[in-house]
Amino acid sequence: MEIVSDKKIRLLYVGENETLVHQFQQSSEKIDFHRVDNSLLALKWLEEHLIVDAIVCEKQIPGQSGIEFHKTLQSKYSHSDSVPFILVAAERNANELAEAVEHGIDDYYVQPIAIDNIVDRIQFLKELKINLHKAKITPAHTVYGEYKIGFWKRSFDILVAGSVLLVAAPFLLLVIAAIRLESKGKVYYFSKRVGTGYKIFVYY
Amino acid sequence: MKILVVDDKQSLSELVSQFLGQSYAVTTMEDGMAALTWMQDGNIPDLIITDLEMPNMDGFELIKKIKESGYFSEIPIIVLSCRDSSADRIQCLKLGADDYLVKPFNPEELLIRVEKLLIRT
Repeated sequence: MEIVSDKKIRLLYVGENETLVHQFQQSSEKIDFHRVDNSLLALKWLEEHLIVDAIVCEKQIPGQSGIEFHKTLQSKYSHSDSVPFILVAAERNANELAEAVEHGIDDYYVQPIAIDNIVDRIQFLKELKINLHKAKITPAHTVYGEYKIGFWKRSFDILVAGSVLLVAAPFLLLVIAAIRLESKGKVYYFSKRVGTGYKIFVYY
Repeated sequence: MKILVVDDKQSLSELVSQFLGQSYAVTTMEDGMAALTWMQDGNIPDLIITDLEMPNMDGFELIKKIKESGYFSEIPIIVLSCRDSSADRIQCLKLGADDYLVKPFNPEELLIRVEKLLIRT
């Protein structure tokens, strides 16, 4: 995998959450932080600066919801998929989370947020996207063919084993008689074993 | 309920998926990287069972990555490993794993632990 970390993350924050802004500003050694209040200003900022490593967006922003803003971005910039887009919500909501997943939003955080987690996550998403883009990693799926026994092998097995068994049968009868006479109990050894799916079968 | 099994040994993931497949929808992935890529595509499982020693991305890293994300941090994780030192257990639990099972394990025990974690969530 290509490593693209060790650089400051150029991050655009869309929203008005002062605590979060403060938190981001505190970790300025890792983040090159930029903030805008709403989606219109965000679009303007993007047009001016063009380069951004990640966008963190409040779910509720004036004018447009975070999910709608993501849609706008996707229709405006064809390659916006390569920039991690993270949604921040005030409280956890399973439906909204599912909606965010469906729209291809990269992550969904609920407050309070640990900045270190978000920074590591952005780094990882960036690496993942770059490497996926260059097709360095592909989700692998190996297909295993069904195992088949050849016709000649099968007939040889049956013939040889069958004839040997026939030849040996009289001697085996002698052995059975000997076991019967010498000791009490069954001639065969057997015990119960557990097989696939916990089915119990008798093992000889 | 969807369960993701991450293990590079096909025999084990097949055993687990056959056993848990009776009551859950099981998906298997062969390493941490493949698992995260699959999850990032929009597949969010209800529970993850992972090995520790794997190529590309090992179990520790996988747990860390899952726990630091917003999407996946709530998903319970069971570690299934042949390492039985308490240092490994402690590290896994510290990173955020919910349970730790040592191989070889009794499948019934795994099933019970899975059920317990799924009821809790």
